[in-house]
Amino acid sequence: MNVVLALLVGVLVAAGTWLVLQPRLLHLVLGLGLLGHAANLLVFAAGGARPGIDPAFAPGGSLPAQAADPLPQALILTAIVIGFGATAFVLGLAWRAFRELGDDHLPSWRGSEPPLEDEQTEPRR
Amino acid sequence: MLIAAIVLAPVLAAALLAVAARSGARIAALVAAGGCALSAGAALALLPSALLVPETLTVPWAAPLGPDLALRADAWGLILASLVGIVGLCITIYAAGYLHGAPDLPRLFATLLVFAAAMQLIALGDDPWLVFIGWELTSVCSYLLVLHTRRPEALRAATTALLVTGLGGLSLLGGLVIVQQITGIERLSELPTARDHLLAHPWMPAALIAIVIGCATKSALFPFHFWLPGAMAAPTPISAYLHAATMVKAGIFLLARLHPAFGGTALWEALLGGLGALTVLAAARRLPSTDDLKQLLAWSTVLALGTLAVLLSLDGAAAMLAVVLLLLAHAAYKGTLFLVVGAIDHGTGTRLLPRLGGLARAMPWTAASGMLGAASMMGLPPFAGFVAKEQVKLAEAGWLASSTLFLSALALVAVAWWVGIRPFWHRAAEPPLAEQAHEGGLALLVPTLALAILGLLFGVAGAWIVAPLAARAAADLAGSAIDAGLPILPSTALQAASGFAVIACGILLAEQRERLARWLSLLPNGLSARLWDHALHAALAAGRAVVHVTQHGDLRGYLGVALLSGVALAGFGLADIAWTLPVSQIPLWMWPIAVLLVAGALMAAAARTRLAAIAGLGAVGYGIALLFVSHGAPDLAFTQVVVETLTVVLFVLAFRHLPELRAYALLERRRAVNAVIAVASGAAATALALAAETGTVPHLGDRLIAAAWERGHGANAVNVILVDIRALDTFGEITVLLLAAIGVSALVTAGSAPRPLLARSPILSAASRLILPLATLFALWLWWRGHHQPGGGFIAGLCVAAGVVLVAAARGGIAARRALLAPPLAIAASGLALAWLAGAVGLIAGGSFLFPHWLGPFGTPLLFDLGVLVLVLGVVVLTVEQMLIAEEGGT
Repeated sequence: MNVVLALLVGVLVAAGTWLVLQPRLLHLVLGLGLLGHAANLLVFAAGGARPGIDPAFAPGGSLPAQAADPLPQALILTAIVIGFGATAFVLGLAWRAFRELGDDHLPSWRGSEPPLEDEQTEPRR
Repeated sequence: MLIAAIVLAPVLAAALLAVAARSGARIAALVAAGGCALSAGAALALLPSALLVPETLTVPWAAPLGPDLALRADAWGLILASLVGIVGLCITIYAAGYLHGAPDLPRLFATLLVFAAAMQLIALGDDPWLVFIGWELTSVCSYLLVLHTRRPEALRAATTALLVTGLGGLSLLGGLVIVQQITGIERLSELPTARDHLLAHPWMPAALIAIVIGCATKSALFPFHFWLPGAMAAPTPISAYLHAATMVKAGIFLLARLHPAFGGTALWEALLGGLGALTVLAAARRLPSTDDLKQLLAWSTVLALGTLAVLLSLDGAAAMLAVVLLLLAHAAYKGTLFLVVGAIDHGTGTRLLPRLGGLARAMPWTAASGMLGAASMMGLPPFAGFVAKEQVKLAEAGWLASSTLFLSALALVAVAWWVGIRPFWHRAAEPPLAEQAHEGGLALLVPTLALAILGLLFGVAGAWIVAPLAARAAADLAGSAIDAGLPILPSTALQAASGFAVIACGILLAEQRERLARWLSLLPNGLSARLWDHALHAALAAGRAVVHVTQHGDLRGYLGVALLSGVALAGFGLADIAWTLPVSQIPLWMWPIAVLLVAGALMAAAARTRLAAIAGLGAVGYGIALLFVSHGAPDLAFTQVVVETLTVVLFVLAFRHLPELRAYALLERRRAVNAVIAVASGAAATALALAAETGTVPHLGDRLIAAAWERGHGANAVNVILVDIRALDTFGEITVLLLAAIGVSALVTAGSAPRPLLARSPILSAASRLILPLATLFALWLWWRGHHQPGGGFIAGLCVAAGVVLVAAARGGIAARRALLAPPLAIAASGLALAWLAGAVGLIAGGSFLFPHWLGPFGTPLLFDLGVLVLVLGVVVLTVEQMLIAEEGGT
């Protein structure tokens, strides 16, 4: 039972959530990073990780006595790398948005999208 | 396979048109006419078999889900299919002349062909869902065809028609689903066998009402009739085809198909009889006050559809035979008159009844066609209209149905007089108009005359050709046999006298057009159209109100709702879990790691400077790497360390372009709400993590490790899962990675103002020259041993990338690009190509994509892993470098 891992997941999610709810773009990006870490750790904890367990190797075909489950590990491994790609993308987006809009205050970005189409074409009656 | 040809011929012709889109209008018309002719020919060739055993064709295409491509060519289906083909042939030829020089004709013809194929699905489909697909396709094609002229009123009319018939289609789908759930049958032709079970079911009324609503929208029955006159904004040949001869018949056609299952019930009689009578009344009220000949025909089509609905509400084979004959006759004479009106419009430039007259001299052939069509519509012997009218008289109708049918007969005579006779033979209202009128050429005359003669043939040859087929269809629809000895001429003097009396009355009424219009204007008018407009605007206003409330544009509002919903869902799911928490011994070394993680998270959350926030995030990442390595996951730890390093570099590079973390003012209340959401989310996540251990989830770990060794030839189970067992998944993930990198390079374009470079260190610069080759060697070693020991393509790729990033940091992004020898995007793409190659080898050698194939120590999983290595290298370098080059002000 990994109560410590579960509690750490909670702390990371809480901190990440707090950050994404802030009005600044930078906080949003940082919060997404923390939430990504939390998600990986959640899968890891839920996948039955235990402290001091043997890696999921079978050297020479012999199973270790207490081996970790390789499936969540494989899931997390790709998730880490994809997470990097996603972080890079969000950073690029933030960089571009800041350059175009000249501000990192999210609430003031409201209305920077074009209006809905039917608002433009609806004939006045 | 003739049955398939009926549907496929128009489809193939449409495909041909799509390929040869620039072939010009004449060739397009030829191809379209050919498609319709083939379809019609196949349908006609099948007619004899429909009298014996209907040909069927079943092609399963979504076997586990149930729906099949099931076609069945019975008499009723073939009647509609033949009409669709024959009228389609006439219409395409006519359209080629009528729309000569109009833009986009090949597209118009292609849409027309798709429409024809969809109609054939309705006609021949035996699978209810196949019929529904055809049904919806005809709505969409009608929309596109009405819209073809691109005029604003056409857009409005087309949208109304699409919305009405689309909503009706949903209703029909609901009804069909209920029927299918009640009876369990998969074929429309089997429905009569389930009649007793169906009628006894409490849900039967709901199903019937839903289906009738669907059919009423399609066939323009009251109160949905208003869309049909609007749809006259379409070019006239289109109106003749869709909105007179075929598409609007689909509702009547399907209702007739369902007659054996529902017919005779009180609800069926009340619904169809009531709606039909109201439709006839609503149409008759509009006829005298309508000046536009085309609108006049549209309202008379509404009238005819109401009449058909009234006939369908009756029981017995005589009424069904009347439905069949009236449908045939109507298609022929209404098609003819539409084409006549088109010719008048073409020849004079107007369709207004009061302005027309005396055209017989200038347009003799059109006048002849008009006369033939009008004669059939009035019910003169020996035309098809007469045969149908005599059969209508034989139907066993009550007083309401009888009086509706009588009113309809009178109105049809009047419309025939106004459209087919008056413009040609009445005294000319504007002599110059009559003198300048001209015929529209062979392309207009031949199809018009052909349809008119078809109406005559249906009557004259009815006894031999039409009778057996119509009788068979009527028997199928009624569930009881009928002997159809169709009359060509009135058999008794009384019959003749009564027929001519009705015609005479109709003509007398027609001559009192203005007076009739004045009287009828006292009646309410256009109620359902106004109601529809109000409903539509109310729906749009409600939609805007909802959007206004929910789509407020505040990201934090959206996130708050989503997060709280997630918490609620988690709480709901975890509510009844029996928590068993035997806390095991926590090793001492866990505590420093935990402290590091918590401190990092708090630092990131509360930092006042950018660098502190990044450092906090990095501390969390390295802390997680420590957790990985201490919980039996060395591969993860390795990956996490390298990724975290690169992420920190990326953050530092990107944040240099973003403003400092300024103090922000948040309302106290908002802060409190945010804190509650954050803590609740964290608690839910902890509960989820704990709950996952509480259940009895089977751990597949040992079996996977064993399988990895025995079948994947690898001791490192994590790596074998990535490159072998779940290789297709990994393939998808690296593709996503490449897409993300392409996205970054599109977002971060070079061109910002040059900024000061990183401080250059000679030591770092020199070291980076040495480290990159070493990192590359190390990565190759990691890749090679990854199958058995910690390592693999992901980690190896990250290592090389880290080396390149070091070069970039020390000597600039441009130097890094030189060190790489190739653009990073090309490197990433070639990585994907390598992975694909490994998959292709598996496909050829093993029979399925990415199936592992080994040759001694070399196997396709290793090649796949090499692809992963190269792709990850390219992606990471691309993203980091993009940020750097942007900083250097472009190359």
